Amino acid sequence: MQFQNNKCINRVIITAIFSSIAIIISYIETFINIPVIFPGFKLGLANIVVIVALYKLSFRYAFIINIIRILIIGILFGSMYSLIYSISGGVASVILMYLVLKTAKFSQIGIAIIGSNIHNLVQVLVATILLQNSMILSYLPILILIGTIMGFIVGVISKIIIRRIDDRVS
Amino acid sequence: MKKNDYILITVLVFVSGILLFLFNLNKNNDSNIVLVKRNDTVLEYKLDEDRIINLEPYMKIQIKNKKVKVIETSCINKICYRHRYISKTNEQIVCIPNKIVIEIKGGDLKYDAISK
Repeated sequence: MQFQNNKCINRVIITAIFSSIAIIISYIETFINIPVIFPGFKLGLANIVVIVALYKLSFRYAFIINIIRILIIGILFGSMYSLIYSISGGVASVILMYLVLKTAKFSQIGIAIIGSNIHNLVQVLVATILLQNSMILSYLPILILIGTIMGFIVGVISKIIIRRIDDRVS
Repeated sequence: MKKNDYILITVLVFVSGILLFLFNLNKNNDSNIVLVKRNDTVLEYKLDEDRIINLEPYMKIQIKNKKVKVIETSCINKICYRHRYISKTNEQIVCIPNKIVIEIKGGDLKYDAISK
């Protein structure tokens, strides 16, 4: 069953609920500082919400929910620069996840891995351009590895949630 | 659909390995000088000599055992402070609030601690 109720208030409500969950997850993540090489390193668990939204709602919902989450967490806890990186990463990530979803060639796990890696990659690229500093690119290998692992975890959790939602509804 | 996922993961791990290899080719032991840049001022120091560098809006950099580390700063986030030491050519520590870039370069030192 797809969410099809088009009443404006229902759209607002469902968006708010998803966004809140994403924000809470992101907020908890700000406390998890794994002392890795990279400052400002975040586990992308909030992507679970975005992926569930992509599958059960629509691209528009997922996009807006991701933007809201990034904006609020960025404004509350981040700096101007980190906001620019996050937004670029988030926008690119959702768009690409949607495109890959449409081709129906990957499962939730593959899409989650792609999403998190694109997010990291775009963030690094934007940072390289803005800071005029190509040393940041040397973090790419470890970012890809950790991005893939985290993407896998996010994908598995998303898959379980989506299946549970499907079970409940049918 | 799961099959494509496996391919994806393999490709990514592979790419990551290749990048790691490529990046490590560059870092050699030809590291000699520590550059401390702020705006247009560049200070140069030898990597071999242990010393502590004090900078203006409060930042202390320590060169010891051929490693460069930030031991005290006045910036808010203290990212430079949490960064580990750097010791190889082209590695950098950047402090954006203080506008300082600490870099290690190879080659020869022309003078002793100059500012251009």
